[in-house]
Amino acid sequence: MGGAVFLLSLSPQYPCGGAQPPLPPLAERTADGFLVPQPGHTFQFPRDHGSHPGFKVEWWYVTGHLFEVGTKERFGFQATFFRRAGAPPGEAVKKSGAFRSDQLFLFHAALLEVRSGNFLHTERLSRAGWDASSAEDTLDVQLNGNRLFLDPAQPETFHLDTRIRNDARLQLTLRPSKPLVVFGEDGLSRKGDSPEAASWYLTFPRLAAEGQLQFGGRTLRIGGEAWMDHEISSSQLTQEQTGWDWAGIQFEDGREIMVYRLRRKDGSTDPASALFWVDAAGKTVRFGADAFRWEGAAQWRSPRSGASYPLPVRLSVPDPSSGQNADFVLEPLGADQELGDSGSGIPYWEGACRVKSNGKVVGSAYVELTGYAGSLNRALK
Amino acid sequence: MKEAPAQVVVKQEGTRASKSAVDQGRARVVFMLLRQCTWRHWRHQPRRTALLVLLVSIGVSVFLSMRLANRAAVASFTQFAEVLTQQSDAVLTPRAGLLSETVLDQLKAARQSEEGLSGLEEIIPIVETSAALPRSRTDREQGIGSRTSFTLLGVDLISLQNLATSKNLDRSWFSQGSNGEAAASQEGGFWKLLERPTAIFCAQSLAEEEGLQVGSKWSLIMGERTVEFELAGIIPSRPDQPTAPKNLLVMDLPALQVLSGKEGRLDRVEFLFNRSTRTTPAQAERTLAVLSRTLEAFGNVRSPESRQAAAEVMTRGFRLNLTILSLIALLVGLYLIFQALDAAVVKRKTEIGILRAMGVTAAEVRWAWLWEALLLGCAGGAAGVLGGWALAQGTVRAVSQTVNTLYYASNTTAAALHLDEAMGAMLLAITSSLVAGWLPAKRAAATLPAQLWAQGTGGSAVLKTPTQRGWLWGFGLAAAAAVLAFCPPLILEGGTPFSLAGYASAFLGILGVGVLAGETLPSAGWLAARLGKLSPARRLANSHLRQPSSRHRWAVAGLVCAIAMTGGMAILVGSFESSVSGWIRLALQSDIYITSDANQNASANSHMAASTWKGITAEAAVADWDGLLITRVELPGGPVRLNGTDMAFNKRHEPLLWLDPPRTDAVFSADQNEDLCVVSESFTARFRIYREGTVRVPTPTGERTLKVAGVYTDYGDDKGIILVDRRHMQRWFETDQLSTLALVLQPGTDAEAFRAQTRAAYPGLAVYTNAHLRAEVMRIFQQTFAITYALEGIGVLVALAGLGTTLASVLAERRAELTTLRALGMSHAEIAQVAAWEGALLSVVGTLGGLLASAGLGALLVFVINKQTFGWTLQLALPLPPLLFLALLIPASGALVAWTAGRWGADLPVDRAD
Repeated sequence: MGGAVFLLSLSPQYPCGGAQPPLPPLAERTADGFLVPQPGHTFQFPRDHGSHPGFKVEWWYVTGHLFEVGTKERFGFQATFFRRAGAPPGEAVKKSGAFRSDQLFLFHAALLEVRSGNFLHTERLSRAGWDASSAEDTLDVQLNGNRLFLDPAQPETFHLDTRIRNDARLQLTLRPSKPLVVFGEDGLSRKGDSPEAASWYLTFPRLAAEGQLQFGGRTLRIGGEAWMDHEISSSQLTQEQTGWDWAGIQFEDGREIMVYRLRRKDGSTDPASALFWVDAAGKTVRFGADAFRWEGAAQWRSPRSGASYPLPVRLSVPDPSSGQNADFVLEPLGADQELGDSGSGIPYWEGACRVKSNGKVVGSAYVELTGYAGSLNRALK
Repeated sequence: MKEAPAQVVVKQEGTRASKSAVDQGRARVVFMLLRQCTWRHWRHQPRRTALLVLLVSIGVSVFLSMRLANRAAVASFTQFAEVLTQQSDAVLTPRAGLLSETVLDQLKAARQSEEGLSGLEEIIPIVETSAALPRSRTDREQGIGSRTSFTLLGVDLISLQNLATSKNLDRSWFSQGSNGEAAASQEGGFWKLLERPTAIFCAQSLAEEEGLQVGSKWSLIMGERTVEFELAGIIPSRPDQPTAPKNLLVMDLPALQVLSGKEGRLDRVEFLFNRSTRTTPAQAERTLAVLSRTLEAFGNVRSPESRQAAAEVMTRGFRLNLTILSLIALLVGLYLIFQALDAAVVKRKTEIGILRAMGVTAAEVRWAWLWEALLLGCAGGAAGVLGGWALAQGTVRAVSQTVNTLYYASNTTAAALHLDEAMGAMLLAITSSLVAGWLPAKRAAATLPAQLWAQGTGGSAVLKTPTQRGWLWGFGLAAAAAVLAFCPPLILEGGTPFSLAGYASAFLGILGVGVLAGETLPSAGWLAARLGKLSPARRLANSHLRQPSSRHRWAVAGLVCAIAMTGGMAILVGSFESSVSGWIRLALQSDIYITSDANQNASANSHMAASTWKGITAEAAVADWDGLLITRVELPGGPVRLNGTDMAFNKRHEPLLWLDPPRTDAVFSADQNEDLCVVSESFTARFRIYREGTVRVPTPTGERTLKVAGVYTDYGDDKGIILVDRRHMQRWFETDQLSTLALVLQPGTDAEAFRAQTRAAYPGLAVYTNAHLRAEVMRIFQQTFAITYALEGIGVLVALAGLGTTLASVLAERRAELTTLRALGMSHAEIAQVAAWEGALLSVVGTLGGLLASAGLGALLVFVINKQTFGWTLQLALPLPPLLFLALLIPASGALVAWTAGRWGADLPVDRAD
C-alpha cells in the first residue's frame, strides 16, 4: 500500500470496500482487459519479485531506518518504484525500443537527516524504455539511474542504488532477516467488494541494510533495518474514497504491524481497511477495520501545500501475544516529510517515525498519509 | 628644513588650484561660445543643422539596422531546452546521419559509473524534421522558400514532466482542451494522447493566426506526404517563460519517429546540467569533457555557445559583407560632416577673428568646435539608434530570408535592440563626428585675429591642396591598393577566411582614385572651356573648376567613393549572375526536378521514400534519371554537405562544371568509385584539400577515406560539397530514401503535363520543370542581393546630398562674388546656371573617376574578395545597364542639385553673417 499515491491517482476507480465477508467472486480480468490477481496463486521466485505487465499497477517500496557506523547518526529513507500499464496486453501500442507507450514508471525517494530535520526528496517520471524498465523474470527495476535489483549471485540479497537529485546517493545491500510475508487469504489481499479489487501483496517486513550514503559532501558507512513491499493489482479507487493512512511498524521485540485505513468522504473508516500483526516467525494475524483505531494526536500543517496531517498518529490495536489492546504513538522523526508538492502535484506525507508505548520507545515505523491536500486526481496536470 | 615639505605641498596645491581655476574658466568660455555662436548658427540655419543630423543618423541607422538584423537572423533557436527553459548546457549531434537510440543506453551506463556525470540533470533526446503548409489552389506557383515552414520536434512528453518539475515550468501538456484538467485524469485520456500518432502542440501565436483550437485538424506536408495533424494543445509557457517561436511544432518523440521514418533513431540529444555544475565553469567544462569522451563514438558534444558560434561562422562571410556595405553610408556621412564643419570655419572666420581679438584662446576655439561636432554626433546618433531599430524590423526579414534560403532555418521576424548595441551606435556616431570635426576644429583654432579683415577674399583659398602633393597621394594610395590586392586572406577563428587586405585595398584604391579625380578638376575645367562658344555662366563655372577649392575636391572624392562602391558591387553581382546563369545552364539539364514540398529552407532535408521515387522513375515517360541523397556531415574543420549521386548519370549528361576534371573515368563507375569522390571549389578553398588529396568522411557505418578525383564548380553552397556515388552512400547511411530526383523525359514528352500528373499523384512533392527551376534559382539569387542594392542606393543618395551641401557651402563662401555678379546684371537664373554647370562638371568628373574605380573594385571583388571569402571562381562581367544608369543619373542629379543650390545661393545677401 505504501507509496501508491501516483498510480492510484491515475486510476481513480479504486473500489469502495464494504463489509469484508462475504465478498463476491473475483473477475479474471478488469473491464479494460487487465488481469485480476487470483487466490491460490503459487508464487515462484525470483520470477514473482519481478514485473507483472499483465496487471495494471505494481510497486516496489523500500523504507528503513539507518545509522552511521560509529556515530549512530540516524537517517530515514524511502525509495519507491511504481509501474503503471497504459494499455492491456495485446493492444497495439509501442511496446519496444527506447520510448515505449505501454508502461509508465514513477520513482519517489526521500531521505531524512534526523539530527537536523533536513528532508531531501525527489520524483522522476519515465515511460518504459531506455530510462526506465523492470525485468519480468527477477527483480530489476530502474528509472533514471535509480535501481532496485535482486543479486543474481546471492539468493535473496537485494541492492538499492538511489540518488536524490545531486544532493545524496544511497547504496544499500538488503538481506531479509525474516521470511517473505504474503498478506491476505490464500495469497490474496481483497481491497473491497468489487470483483476486481484485490492485490498480491508481498512484503519483507524486516531486512538488514548496510551500505553507504553520500551526503553533505561526505560518504558515510551506514547500517540499519528496512521494509520492502511489492504489490501487484489492477484494482482502483472509487470517488467515494478520499485517501488512506498506512503504516509499517517494526517493533524491537522482532514483530511487525502492517496497517492501512481507507478513508471515506464522511471521514469514516472504510470496511476494507485492515491491520496485520507479523510475529517473529513471520506468521500473520489479520484484524478488520472495526478491530483497531487510528487517530491523530495533533495536526501538522504543511507550509507548502497547506494540508493538515493528523500527526503524531495514535494507534490502538489488539495485541495477539497478550490478548490485550495495545496503544502506540507513531511520532514523526521530522515534522516536514511531505512529498509530491511539485512533481506529481499530489502532496502526501510519508515519513520516518519512532513508535512509543506508554512513553517508551518500542520500535520504528514508516507512515503514509494521503488525500489530505484535496483530490488525488491531479496527476500530470 | 622641517617646513620645506609643507611648502612643497602648499605650492603643489596652489598649482592644482590655479589649474582647476583655469579649467573652469575655459569651460565657461567654451560653454559661452557654444551658446552664443554655435547655437545661434544652428538656430539661424535649422534646415542645414537638421540635414547634418539626418546624415549622421542615416549612416548610423543603416549600420545599426544591419547589425541588429544580422544578429537576429543568426540567433534563431537551435535547442529545444532553450525554448522551454532558456537553458541548454550541451548537445550531442552525430557526425553523419542520425544517432542510434543505443546512445541512450550508453549514457545510462555512463551515468551509473562516471562520477563526472553527476552534474547531469536532464537528458533530452530529440527528433527533428521539417514540415510546410501545403500549397493552396491559389498559390500553385509560389517560389521555393516562400511558404511557411515549420520545425517539427519530437520530444518525450513524459520526461518533460520532470523538466517542468525541476524548472518550475508550466506543466499543462496533458490537460488542455474543453474539459481541461479532467481530460488528463480521465481514465485513458492521458494515454490516448500518447497513442495518437499525429497529436501536435504549437505556439499560441500560431494557433491564433491559423485559427486552431485543441482538437482542430491541420494538414502539413512532411516528406512527400500530406499529414493531417490534430492539435493536442498549446506549447505551455508561463508569463515569465520564453515564448515558443511560431514555427515550432512539438510531438511525442516516438510518434514523430514513426511519422518521419526515424524509428530507433534520434537527431540529437540535449543536456541540462544541475545548478551547481552550471554555475561553476570548471565543473561544467569537466562534465562537457566527460560527455564528449563517453559519446565520442556517436558524435560531437558541444556547448550551445559553440553551436551558436558554428552557426555564426557559417554566415560570417555573408554578414561581414553586409556590415561593410552598411558602413558606406556612414563613411559618406562622416565626409559630409567634415565638409559642413569645414565650410562653417570659413564662414565664421570673421567671428572667430573677433573672438580671438577679444582674448579667446585657440584652445577654447578648438574645444568649442569639437563640442559642436560632438553635439551633432549625439543628436545624429540618438536619431540613428531609433531609425536603425525601425529599419532593422524591415531588413531582418530580408536577411533572415537569405539565411533561411542559403544556410539554415531562420525563424526571426523581429530584431530587438540591446542596450550595448545602442550604446555602440551612439559611440560610433560621436566618434565619427569628432573625427570629422577634428581638422575643422584645428583650422578654426588656427584663425588669427587678423582674419577679421580678411572677409570676402575667398576663405576656401586657404584650403587649397598643393596639386603635386595631391597627385603623389593619389598615386601612392592606388599603388598601396594594388599591393594589398595580392595579399592572402586573414583566417578567423573557426577557419573562416576574411579578406582584410582585400577590403583595405578597396578602401585605399577608392580613396586614391578620389584624390586623383579631384586633381583632374583644373584639367576638366580647361577642357570644358574648349567646348565651343560658351555663355558667361558656363565660362564662370569653368573658371571655378580651373582653380578648385579643397571642397570641390572633397565633393568629387565623395562621389567617386559612392559610385565606385555601387558600380563595383554591380560588377560583382553581374559577374555572379553571369557565372551562375552559365552554371545552371550546365547543371540543370534534366527536364523535371522533384523534391519534398517541405524543403522550404536550406536546413530542411525531407526525403522521398523508396516506394515513391521508384514509382516515379518507373514511369514510361522517364528516359533517364538521377537521384540525389543529401546530408550534412561533420568534418574536423566544420560541417559540410555530402551528396550522393549517380556518377554514371553525370558522365552521360555532364552537368558538372569542372575546374580540375578527373584524370580517369573510374569515378563515374559504381564498381570502381567506392573510395573516390569529387569536391566543389568551395570545399577546396575551405579545407585546402585538392585533387588527389584524401578526405575522411564520417558515416553511420564507419569512417570512409575518399580520394578526391576532381574539383567542380558549384555556386549553390559556399561551405563546400563532397559528391560520392549514391549507391555507396545509401549503403553507408543505411537508407533507400532520396532527397531529390532529376528526370530526363522521353523525347516528345510534355514536361508540363508530366509535372501536373506527378503533382496530382503526389501532393506532398514539389515538381519543377527545367524552366521553372532555373527561374527559381535566379529569383533566389536576386533575393539574396536585395539588401545589397538597397545599401548601395542609400550610399548614392547620401553622396548626392553631399554634392548639394558642398555646392551650397561653396556658394555661401562666394556671396561677395555673387553680389558682384548680381550688380553686374546677372539674373538669379543665370547664377543658378553657373552652379548647375559647376555641379554637372563636378559630377561628370566624379562619375568618370567613380566608374574607373568601379572597374578596379569590381575586379577586386570578383577575383580577390569573393574568391577569398566564398571560394568561388567567377567570370568577370560588366553589367552595362546599371553602369550606364549611374553614368547618366549622377551628372543629371548633380546638375539638378547644384541648380537648386544655385537658386538658393543667388538670394544670399552679401552682408548676412552666415
